[in-house]
Amino acid sequence: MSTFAWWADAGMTIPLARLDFVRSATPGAVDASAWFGSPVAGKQLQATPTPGTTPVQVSLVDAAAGSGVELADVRLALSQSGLAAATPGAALTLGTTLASGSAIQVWARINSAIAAVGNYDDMRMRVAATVETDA
Amino acid sequence: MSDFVQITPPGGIYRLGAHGIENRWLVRTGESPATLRATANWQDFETATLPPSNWYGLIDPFVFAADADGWMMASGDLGYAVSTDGALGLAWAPSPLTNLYPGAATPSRGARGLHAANGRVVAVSRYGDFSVSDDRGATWVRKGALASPSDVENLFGVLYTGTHWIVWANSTQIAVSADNGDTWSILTPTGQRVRGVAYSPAGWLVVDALFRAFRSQNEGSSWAQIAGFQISSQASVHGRVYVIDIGPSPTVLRSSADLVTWDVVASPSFAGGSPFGVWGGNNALVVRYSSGAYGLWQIGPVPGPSSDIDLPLRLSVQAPAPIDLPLRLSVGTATAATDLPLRLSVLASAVLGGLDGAAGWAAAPDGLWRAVVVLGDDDISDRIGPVSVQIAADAARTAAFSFRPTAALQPMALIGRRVRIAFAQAGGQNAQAVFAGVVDVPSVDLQTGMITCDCTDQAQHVWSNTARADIDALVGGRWHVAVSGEPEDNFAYLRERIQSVPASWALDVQQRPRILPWRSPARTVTVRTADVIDGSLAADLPSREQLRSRIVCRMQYRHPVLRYRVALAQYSQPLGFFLPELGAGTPGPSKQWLTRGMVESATERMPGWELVSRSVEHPPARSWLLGSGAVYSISPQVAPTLALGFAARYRARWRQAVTQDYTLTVVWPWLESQLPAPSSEEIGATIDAPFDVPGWDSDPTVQPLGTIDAPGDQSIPWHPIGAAPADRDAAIGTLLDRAWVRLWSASRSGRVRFALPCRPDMWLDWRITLEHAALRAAGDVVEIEHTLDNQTGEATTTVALAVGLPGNAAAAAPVWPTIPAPSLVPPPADSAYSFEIGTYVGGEAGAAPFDEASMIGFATNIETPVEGAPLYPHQLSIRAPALTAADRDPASATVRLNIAVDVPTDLLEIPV
Repeated sequence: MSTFAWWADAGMTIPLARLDFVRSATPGAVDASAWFGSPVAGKQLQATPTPGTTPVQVSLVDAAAGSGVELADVRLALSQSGLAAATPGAALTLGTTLASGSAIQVWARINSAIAAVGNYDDMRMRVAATVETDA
Repeated sequence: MSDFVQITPPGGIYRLGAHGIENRWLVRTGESPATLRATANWQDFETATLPPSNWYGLIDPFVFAADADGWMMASGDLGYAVSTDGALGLAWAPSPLTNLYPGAATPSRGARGLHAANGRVVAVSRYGDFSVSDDRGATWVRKGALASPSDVENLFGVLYTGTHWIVWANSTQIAVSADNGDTWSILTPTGQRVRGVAYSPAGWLVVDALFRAFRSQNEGSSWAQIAGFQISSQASVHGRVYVIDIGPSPTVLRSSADLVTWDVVASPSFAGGSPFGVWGGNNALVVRYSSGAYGLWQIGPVPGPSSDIDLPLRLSVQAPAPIDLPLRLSVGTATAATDLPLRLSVLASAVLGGLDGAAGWAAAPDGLWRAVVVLGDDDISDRIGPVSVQIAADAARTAAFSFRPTAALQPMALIGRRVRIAFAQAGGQNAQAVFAGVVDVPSVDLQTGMITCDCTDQAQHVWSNTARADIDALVGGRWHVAVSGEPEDNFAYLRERIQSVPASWALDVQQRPRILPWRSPARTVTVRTADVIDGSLAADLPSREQLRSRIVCRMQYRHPVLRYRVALAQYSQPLGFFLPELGAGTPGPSKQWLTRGMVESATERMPGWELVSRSVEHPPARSWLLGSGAVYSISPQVAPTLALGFAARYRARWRQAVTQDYTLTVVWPWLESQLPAPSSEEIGATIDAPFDVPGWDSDPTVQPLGTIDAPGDQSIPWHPIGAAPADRDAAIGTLLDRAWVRLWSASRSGRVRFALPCRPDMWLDWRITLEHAALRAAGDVVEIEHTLDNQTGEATTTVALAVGLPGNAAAAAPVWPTIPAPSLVPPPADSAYSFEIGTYVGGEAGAAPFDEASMIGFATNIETPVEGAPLYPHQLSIRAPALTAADRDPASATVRLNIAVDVPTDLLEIPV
């Protein structure tokens, strides 16, 4: 099991099980961030098929395309100021080799036209196809 | 194509530097111990004297640079040195600097990469900092830092392409300057660590940690990988790039000017095995082969004077040696997808709206609430009692709830279990998270069987685990160890640093660290009388004891000044003094001579002074015809033993402690005018610069040496790393910032409290204007308590606002004036540089009795003393100038300054 995970804080103290966005029924953009990394010393994460060359990416997965939050509603960036220029629905590259010990902050913006009151859980951020080795 | 000749540097080449003038090379041969050699023809090698480092011994030569005036060298951390014999490179002087990178997080007195060109020297440290010098390394200006360098010795470097400087440090970043080092850009060419850089007139080459080669033909704006290359070493020579490609068969390749086409440079016949390393310079290429052979190839015109230089050729036939390339298979952990679900919660606008000072607002539209409490993975919402959540600025968020377990429970197992609390409408919709954390203290009511859990959001733990760099980025502001001391953990560091900015800290509802600037709300609302629960309004006004109208900032900066003084002992008499018959006027009796022995004895040892030079003036060896008809002769054997005079130069050095004492008072004049007397408190810091050079006081050869030679004084303030003027200024800036924030925090110590129907979305980033019939106030939310009590039916939010002094006016953070540094070392009198040497003649009429104590100088007697006249001992004594108390005693100077500031005020009034 990988030691790399999602966290609420840069110090990787509080594991994050879900990233919440809250707004009123008036459509508008909401931003939130999470941290991705491993607190275990001496590890690194790379992506397959060519570890060290293939970029490690955060992609968006819509479990219910056509309802709830859509891919085009979500932007990802490494800074809050970078969200405006991010391509909606596009994956975010974190690097080709992620070293443990320091986390990367990932910002997400949901700008959806949903007006009906409720919780919409069909979207997730995913880091996949990786291999963790000793640095 | 190969034009190599074999060279045999003694001990092999460990490091190589080339120089354009006189076609000389500087070579460090052998790895340990280091030997520094210079050569112009690769046959004759001269051994240089390695310079001492500042503190540890010999500088271990590692990198070299050269300009028209000579050489420079440096090693990783041991020091920087400049040749004192121009291009020869055999004699060196170490730099006294202890840090070539002012302002760097980790100082260094050496360099891993060094280059001189275009009137400048650029160095890069093992920590990735890089600096520029305009005076061959006497002074440096740090220009930036490359992120996270990996300290592998030969993978750092600096070069100048003719238009651009390039610095690399085995980091993913390189630094580039197009204006001769004034400004720099940070580039990330490949995403991997850059281990080497080379250039040609039309392209740059970087080699990264995967041995890949990338080319840029637009000065670093974009990079394209040169496929099929595996580069281990590279050099730039005469407009071409030479590399060693360690692909299937290691080969030296030569590029075209645009780095597009590559030719194979065939290995010479004397080379055994594969090419192993390549260096370039002086329009020549040096290649080392795995057999240990070296080849030199002169490429292009040779600079310097033209002359025939014979280089014997040697053919060495050696048996081929096996070349192994170890393979490594890394087996890692294939990871499953690491998902983070996203939840978009859309709440009814009425739930989040209102509080606009107009009509009523819905809160829970049906007025019915339920708490949703998840303990670990269990939803215990249907078994809970009262729930309360407490939120405060600069404090952890806490919560308390009670519940009845449905099965046997070990209360101690609750400690640390995760807790999530949300308040929702009775039907479960519009749930709003109000708490996330862990159980801190469980307790049991044995009468009722109810378990009560006191919970915390672990704020201290989260901040302790947050890196200081992240805290600095969040908070801004300033911090200095002289002001705060070394904090025990990063949470303590946060609480110190945040005192320099007008802000509070807290974790948000998802336990993410947040900084909340005062008077800079994310949301501003208005609360009316009708919104406030009757009887809940209360106000605690700031008391005079709590207010501060001035903060006195005291700063003492103590450091030694290294004092050097040169003084002159000088004495001279004409020949006619000793032989009046040879002088002008009426001849008198001759006198006993001053001798060379007297001079040497009197000048040899002078306590507290070092004899630097001494010269004696002798009378001529000749004969004189006296007026009386006699002949006076000084033989050649005697003349050197006599003295007409002498000059001896002495040097003394000592340390003087100086203290700069600052009293800077930050005053809020508006508040002071309101108070009967100033209300003040004092904050301060002290920086003591240690002097940690053993033996300096007693051994005049210990660095740093003074450079003064003529009579006079030299003062060198001692500013070690961490106790330099920049540290003093940083500490003063920190004190001033904290003073202004302290004035503001003291003024906003008032609290206005009230309760309103439950408002779960309220947080510390709100600013509330209260328009109540009994009170008008505006302030930041600093305390919140949400209470849902299913036994009493209470569903309230209690709020406390931080309210400052009335005036409702903003005020910008002050811009501090430049604080002048006092000058402390007074100039001495001219008499401080001269020795006392008088002239006293005994045996003549009227001579006073000899006084050993006061008659300091040359004491002599006339050759035919007058009867009864006192005779003096024939001797020479000299007295050195004394150091005055002002020279030696600790000195101090005071700077006092009052600085007026403005502090924001709030709305606070009682309506009529």
